[in-house]
Amino acid sequence: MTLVQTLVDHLRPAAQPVRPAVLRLATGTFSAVHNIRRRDMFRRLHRQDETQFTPVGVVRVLRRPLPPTVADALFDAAQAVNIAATLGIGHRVTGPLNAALQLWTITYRNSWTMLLHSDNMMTMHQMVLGTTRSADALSVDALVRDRTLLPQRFDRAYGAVPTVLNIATCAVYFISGVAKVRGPLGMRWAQGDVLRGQIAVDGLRKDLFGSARTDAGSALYRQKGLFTLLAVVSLAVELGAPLSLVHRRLGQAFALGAWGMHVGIRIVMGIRFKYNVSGISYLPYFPAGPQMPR
Amino acid sequence: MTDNPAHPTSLPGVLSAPAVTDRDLWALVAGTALAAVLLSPVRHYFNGRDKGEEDSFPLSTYPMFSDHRKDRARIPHVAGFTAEGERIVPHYSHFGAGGLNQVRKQVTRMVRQGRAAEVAQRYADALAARRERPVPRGGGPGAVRRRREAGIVRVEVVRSRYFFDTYYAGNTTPQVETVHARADVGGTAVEVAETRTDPAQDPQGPPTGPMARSGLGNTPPAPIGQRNTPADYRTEHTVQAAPRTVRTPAQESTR
Repeated sequence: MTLVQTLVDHLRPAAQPVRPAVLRLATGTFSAVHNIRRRDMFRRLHRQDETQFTPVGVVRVLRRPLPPTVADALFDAAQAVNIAATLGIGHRVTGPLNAALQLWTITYRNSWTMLLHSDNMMTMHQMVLGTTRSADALSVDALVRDRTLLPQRFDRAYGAVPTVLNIATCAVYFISGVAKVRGPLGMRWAQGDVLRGQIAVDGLRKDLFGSARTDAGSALYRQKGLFTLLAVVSLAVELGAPLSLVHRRLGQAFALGAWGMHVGIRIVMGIRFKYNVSGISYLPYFPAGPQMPR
Repeated sequence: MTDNPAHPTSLPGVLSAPAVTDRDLWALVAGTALAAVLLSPVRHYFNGRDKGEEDSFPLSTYPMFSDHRKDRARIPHVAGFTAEGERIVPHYSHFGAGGLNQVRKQVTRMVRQGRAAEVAQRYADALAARRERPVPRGGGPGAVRRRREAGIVRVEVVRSRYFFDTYYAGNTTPQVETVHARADVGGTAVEVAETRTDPAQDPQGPPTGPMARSGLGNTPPAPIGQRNTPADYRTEHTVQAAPRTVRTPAQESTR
């Protein structure tokens, strides 16, 4: 077996359409609930002081914010199209359209002075799922075309989807890791002082803006040794993220480590990376359905 | 679905993966290109550019948790005061939508731009509007917060310095604090320039902090809940800036 054949079998295994379909349903449903619950917040955001508008990414095409009613309509359209794409209704059209609308609305949400980092992975995953063949099973399209929700066929296009999603996930973690070791302390970031300082300032900010710091963060502040351990684990997970693409078991170990890291951040800092804490972001490391053996 | 013999459309009897085709090779090339794009923000950690300035969405430099805070922080924010001088922090939602961190960033930016009076006015207007509504009963955190906020008669936009060790030991009084603007609830904001210091705290930080210089007369931190009124401060100098009143459009009433 040649190297290329091995590489293709690993990254693009011939799998059944149920594999990406499960991911489409999970991510699309999470996104629908997550965004619809934030609808009021988005509408208030669209009516903010114009001087706070600092466009990023694709929204840089704008010099001024959109009229609030237009921004509201785009947001609502994104939710409607997301539901259609998640159900697999006309996915060849609704999938790419959903990818574009999600990119636009979430980028627009991040164009008001503060760049948040909690929606990046979900947005990238939705863009991948919207532009690949993720609705050939468990979809209205499959019912209409194949008269079944679970077509029994294999194609490398189906097996490639989780790999692409995992590449996006890896990129997020790897860049986060590089950011830490390319800071003023370099690899000494692993000593934990920076992390401890970040948790301290985060709790302080919460207090000063009328929220409340977490009990765990306050209680753990004095535990310097614990922060060293947390920092070492964080760096290992982030810088080691690319290894998760090498072998399925490594990928699953990475998924558990990354999920644990986000749960820890949730408990100690009260920061909710909801997509990550839900575990849905790591589902591609646990592919559904059979694949053809090498 | 594909009819290509290399990609069978059904599996019975097929036991091994299909041979590699041109389509697979092109897919590998496309996947490599996508990975390069997704990883492209990492270049800003090697080209001397500012990671914060280069941050974007969804391709981010993910700078969170990477800045070294040492043992202290100066944080612009808004403090409220009751008629008795008790210090109460008004909730960030009085400023705007988008969550705590977005409000914090916007307040910081406006203070840096010399627009602190606008911030004070927005908070004062929002608190005044809240007064029009009945004070909620109940024991939930929201009701408790609103009852406390109902006592706020004045807000100040301040930039305060805290030492983490002191703060987390229970002394929540800033070591030094600059007041940029002030507004009575229901009134009009004015710019001010005052600096207040807590004489009980060493400006170099507590002896427990990594940046501290020992032996400079540090005092033990005060218990939680004390030392948080204006009377606890020594105002080193007060400069009344040329008054500049600000009125902003009425803030959204629904929060």
